[in-house]
Amino acid sequence: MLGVTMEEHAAKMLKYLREHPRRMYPFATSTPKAYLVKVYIDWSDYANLVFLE
Amino acid sequence: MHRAKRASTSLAGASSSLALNPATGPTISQQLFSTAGIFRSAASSRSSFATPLINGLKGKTPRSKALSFKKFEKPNARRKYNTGTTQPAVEPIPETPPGNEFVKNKIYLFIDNCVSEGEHYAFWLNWIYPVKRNRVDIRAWLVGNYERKIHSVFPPDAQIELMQRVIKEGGVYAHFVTEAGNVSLDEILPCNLT
Repeated sequence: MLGVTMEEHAAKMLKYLREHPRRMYPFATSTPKAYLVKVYIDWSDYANLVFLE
Repeated sequence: MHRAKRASTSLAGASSSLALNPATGPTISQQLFSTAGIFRSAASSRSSFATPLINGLKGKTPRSKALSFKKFEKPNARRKYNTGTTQPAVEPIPETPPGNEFVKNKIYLFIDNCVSEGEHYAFWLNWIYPVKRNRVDIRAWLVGNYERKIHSVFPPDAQIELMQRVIKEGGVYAHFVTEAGNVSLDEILPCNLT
């Protein structure tokens, strides 16, 4: 579907992980923390340098 | 001649009473309390599941490795993981960024050429590499395949190009690329979860 951004995808993922906190590790003692990171690879400053937003 | 031989054997037996006598064989106490079988079994089980346990008991494995969680990736896919700190073999062509206002947090990562240039997204997930409570942690054996779980969380058309492990925090940066127009809301979570 057009118009679905990655933030919406991430929100769906976060919602699911919040509803199912034992999904990743059944013995987890805290709720899983997940977030979306936008990565931009910048080759101008150094040979291989990555900025995370 | 015969007497001399008998005398020599008796002297040898007297000097080393604990040694194995080839004529009589091992005694009952030697058979019961010998430690040779333990070392033989330990040497034969080098490629078994008990290897980290035996090495941990020996004290050869450092504490950092003994308490780290098991790595779930297969050997064929291992090159995809933890390549964040490896230098690329060929230096890529430099490309100018659109602007520095885009940058908020500077985290310097050395990412291999497996990630395509330009913008992409990464999803952070924790509880992937939880710390063991002790060297023998049953929870590490009970959990399933994390790789499959991570792939199930993502949209179906997402291609995970890099898994960047952060062992200290027990998580993974999953760098992935999607074509936003090809994904529908019905196909994403929780429909594709197994």
